[in-house]
Formats: sequence, structure tokens, C-alpha cells
Amino acid sequence: MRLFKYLVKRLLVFIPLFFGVTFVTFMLIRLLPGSPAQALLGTMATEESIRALEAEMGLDRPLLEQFVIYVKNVLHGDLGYSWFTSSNVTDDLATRFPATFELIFLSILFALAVGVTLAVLSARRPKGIAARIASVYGMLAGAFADFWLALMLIFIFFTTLGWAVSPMGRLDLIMSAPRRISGMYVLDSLLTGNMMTLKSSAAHLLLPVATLGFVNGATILKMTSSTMQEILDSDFIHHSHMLGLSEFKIMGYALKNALPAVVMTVGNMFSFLLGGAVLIEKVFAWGGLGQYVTTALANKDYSAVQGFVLVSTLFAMVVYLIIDLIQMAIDPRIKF
Amino acid sequence: MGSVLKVEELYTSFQVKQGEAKVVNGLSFEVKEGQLLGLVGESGSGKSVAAASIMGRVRKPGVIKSGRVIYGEEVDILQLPEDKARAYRGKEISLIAANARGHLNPLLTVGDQIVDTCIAHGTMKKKEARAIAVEMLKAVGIPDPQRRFYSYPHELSGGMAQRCMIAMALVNSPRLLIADDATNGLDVTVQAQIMDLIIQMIKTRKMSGVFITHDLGVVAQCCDEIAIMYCGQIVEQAAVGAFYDAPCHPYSVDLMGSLPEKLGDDSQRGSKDTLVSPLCLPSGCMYHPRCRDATKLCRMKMPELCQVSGTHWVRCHHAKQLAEKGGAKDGGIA
Repeated sequence: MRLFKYLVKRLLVFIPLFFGVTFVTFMLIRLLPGSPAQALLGTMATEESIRALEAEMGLDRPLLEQFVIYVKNVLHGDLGYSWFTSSNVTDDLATRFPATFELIFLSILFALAVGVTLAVLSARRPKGIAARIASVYGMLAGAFADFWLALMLIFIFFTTLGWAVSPMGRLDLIMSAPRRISGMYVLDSLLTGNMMTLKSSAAHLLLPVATLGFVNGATILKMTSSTMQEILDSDFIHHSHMLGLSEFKIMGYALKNALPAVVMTVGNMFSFLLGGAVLIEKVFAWGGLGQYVTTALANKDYSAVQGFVLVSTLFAMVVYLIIDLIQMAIDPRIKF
Repeated sequence: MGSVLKVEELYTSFQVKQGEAKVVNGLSFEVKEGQLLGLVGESGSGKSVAAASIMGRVRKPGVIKSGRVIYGEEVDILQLPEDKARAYRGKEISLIAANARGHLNPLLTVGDQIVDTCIAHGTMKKKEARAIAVEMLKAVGIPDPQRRFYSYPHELSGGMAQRCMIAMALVNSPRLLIADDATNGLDVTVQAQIMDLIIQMIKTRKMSGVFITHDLGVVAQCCDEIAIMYCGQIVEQAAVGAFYDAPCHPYSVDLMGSLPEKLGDDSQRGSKDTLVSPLCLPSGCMYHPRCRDATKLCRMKMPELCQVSGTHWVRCHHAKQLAEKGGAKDGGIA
């Protein structure tokens, strides 16, 4: 019951947040120089034709009126039309969101596996091999730009060695997508038992996931390492040694105490990568959200940008809610 | 009476930016079976580091340089590999520290922590360990132990947390308990209760104990023997009665003179307030910069512990003279 109340309270926060975010995005995007009508018609268009198109798009009305109309539509589940893809923004987002989510989810999973494992091993033996690998990896991953690493991996594993599939999209070109359930190809292939698409989509995920995982794993490694070190130096760990607990048990204690910080980092990573994986999406022609919103921004595609901001706000809210719930499950000192 | 613990020439230091801080400097003492030893010294005299060194685990950047910590008759804990030494910690020798809440895992119930300690040293199943843990909580006076088993450290008062820590320390029935300032930071009434509990536990379980404290009153009440520590070494050791009758070492005399009831009494001397840093220990007798009676010899040569009577040992060049005068309380050395 307390959990239910807490959830309701958290969801209620979304209402003012929704209005605030919508209003700010709505106004800010209209501050960008140039008009979408101009962008659509090109530089040769006459002033008159631009005015006419603006009237058609509803851009000639007062800003507040436009805002009220937009909010009304959104409340009816209509995020508007993208002037450039000529389709419903809701549909656009519904196909692109799962693509990006699948990519970043698996990348973060990979980053977690690499980061946490190395952090624990190097905390256990601060002068061991794992610690040395971790310090080199931390430096390298911090220095690499993700798109550069992606290009290098493509060059090595696709162009030179020919081990990887072509870095174009989420499936082989001749293949059609598995029956849509979640929109995530690997999951849908598994659910529908389609081995062909499973193999192909997994193969296409390999390089982008490796790139994002490698780069972001370093953040998790550093965060986990520093938190673990702090905890391993704490009174209660020292006392656990005095009680004669095994090293394995003590590492378990330390890792559990480090988890809240790791979970927080992962949450931030999710929210950031939703739009922040754009360069990787571009390199691998992924057709994800990041790519969608950067194109929309360049074209001043108001509805598309606003739709993206709304979806990412909602996503961030859900992610942070999940993080808070996990933190509460781990740490009894945090209460609803 | 057999010996439970024999510490011989223990040296521990910390490598810090400014140099090597020598915190424990040739500490030697012995705890006999059933004996309660009070280890007394001011803050920074190396008491807690000595306790950690005895357990064979000093926090970084501390290093045990040399010495022997002999448990029972022949096992030198410091020579054992880590996995073997671990078997002694919490099983044969247990430690209780101050600030219990900070020394308990915040994410685990106290019951589970006792169970973990229990399982670490035995082959018992979790279920048996749980029953033992509840019994132990009851033994240390936790009301409603069945329910408190599931309490997290932050849900307990300081006194309760200290009781849980005692339960954890005693669950494997060790032969020796080291209480490192175990009542520090607690209310005065709670302090007395916890002290009584520790003593009662030691007596009923026929254990030996080392009380590390700066409270001379506590030692007078409950210990058999007292050892005064200064700059990481013992400067005076005696049976409690003999010590309180006639403390010999100038530092002990100064310590006794600093008791609240003695303040303002001009016949009791106070030490010069010169601080000695472990980074730069004085030559000769470590206490000479603060000693009002220091002579040239004190500045040149480190005194050995010498016997002034049956069980009374003093590390002072002038120990014999002081003892003959019935302690230094009447004046000191001419």
C-alpha cells in the first residue's frame, strides 16, 4: 500500500513536469532562427509562398494559441505530424524508440559486465593484473571518441577481417523485420522464434554494442572502483576483517554497498544515451531516436523535436523511478 | 596460569607524506588465562593501532614492521598466511570497537551479520547459526531478540548497536576479547551498562580480556592488571592495586594527577604540555620532553622496563628511586 501511494505520488509529479517541459521546449525551439516553412521550400522560395505555408502549418497564429492547440492534441495522444518524414510523430517515435532502446540497453549491460568485473577484481588486488588492465582501459576508453572507435572497429572487423556484418541498419538488407511485438528485433525474434532475424539482428548489434559498451564501461569502472575503494577503507569493512570473514564475503559486502552509486550511474547513462548515442546511430545507420531528433532539429521539425523531448522526459522519469525503487530495495535507510 | 596472548617487541608504523610515523614502538605485554588487562594511554598513544596489530591487520598505510603476537603457547599470528590468520580473528581473539553503528554493515540486518560471523568460522548451516544468533542477542540483553534479529544498524540506538557488536564478537566463543575504547561515545549510564555487560560476559565465559581505554576509573574497577602506554610502548605495568597505591613512572603520576578529582590539588603534578609527534620521536626516554624530572641520561638513553617490585615494572631510569620514595607523588627526583 505504501509502495502504491509512493508510485502514485511519483506519477503525479509527471503532470507539472509535462507542462513545464512542453512549454519550455515549445518556446525554445521557436527561438531558433529561420522558419520551418523556409527550410521545407528551400532558399529560392518567395516570401509569399513561405507565408502561405506558414499559415497552413498554423505558425502564423499567436504563440500561446499554438501552444494550447499542441497541448490539447498531445492530451488526445496526437504528437503531431513531422513535416519532413510526412508521418505521424507518434509512429516515428514508436519505430525509433525500440531501436535505440535495444542498442543502449545491451550496451549498458555490456558496460556493466566489463566495468563492475574489472572494478571488483582491481579492488581485490590493487596491484594485480586486473588492476593494471583496468587503469589502461580507463584511460583509453576515456580518450576514445565513440564514433572513432566505431569506425576503427568497422575497419578492422568488417573491412579488413570480414568477420562482422555490414554496418548498415539493424538487419541484413534482404531480410524483413520480425513480427512486431516490442519493436526490438532480438526480443521479437526470440518471441516469434524467428532464428534468421535473431541471428542477423544480433550480428548487427555486435559492433555498435561493443563500441558503446567499451566507451561507457569506463565510466562504470571508475565509479565502481572509487566507491569500492572508499567502502573497502570504511570502518565496517575493517571490522569485518577483524571478525575473520572471508575475502569473498567482504567483497560481497563492499559491492552491495557500492551498488547504489553504480545504479545511479547506469540510470544517468540510460537517460543520456537515449539521444546521446546519435553518432553511433549515424555510423551504423541505425535509424534510432538520436538520428531522428538531430535531423528534426536541423530541419526545425517542431513536432518531431517536441515529441522526442516528451518521450525522453517520460523515459527519464521511468528510469529514475526504477532506480529509486532499486536503491530502496538495496539500502534500508532509504524510505518511501 | 597459562598465557593466552604474548606480545613481544611489536613495531607498527605508518608511511605518510611527511615520513614514517612510528606509532607502536616495541610494545610487549602478556595476558594470562582469565586475566583482565587494562591498556591505558592518552589519545594518540597507539592503543588502537596496537589492537589492530595484535589482530594482524592494520589499516593502510600502516605496516607491522616487526614483533611477535603469540596466541596460546606457540602460534605467532603475525607469521601466519592471511587465510590462516583469519581463522584466529573473531574465533580465538575478538575485538569490540567504539562507534558500533559505524562498524556494522549498514545494508545488512544485525542478525545476518552475526550469522555471517558464525558461519565464517564453522561448518554449521544457516538455520543453526540463526538460532545461535538469536540466543546471542538475548545473552547480550537485547529485548525481543527474535524481532531485533531483523533490525538494521541505523534502527538501533548506540547502546543497542554496541550490544549487537558484542554479540558478534562473542558468538564464536573466543578465548580473548579486546575492547578498544568500547564505550566511547555512549551516554554515561549506557557506558556503565555496556561495561558491566562486557565484564559479565568475560567472567561467565571464562575468557581473558584486554581493555583499551583512557579511563583510569574503569581499569581500577574491573581489571587485574594495568599497563600504561606512551608513544607506542609500555612505560609501566603492574597489578591494579599496586599501581594505584604508588604509580612510579612520571607519566603515570601525571595521568593520575589529571583525574578530575585531583585537579587543583597542588601536590599532584601536571605534565608539561609538549606534544610528541610519532613522525619525530625524541631520543632517549620518549617521555623526557614532557617530564619535569628529566636528566641528561633521560635525553640520551632509552630506559628498559625494570622491575621495582614483584609484578611492578617501570620504564624509567629513575624507577628504583621513585619506587623507594613510594611513587613520585611527593615530589620526584632531586
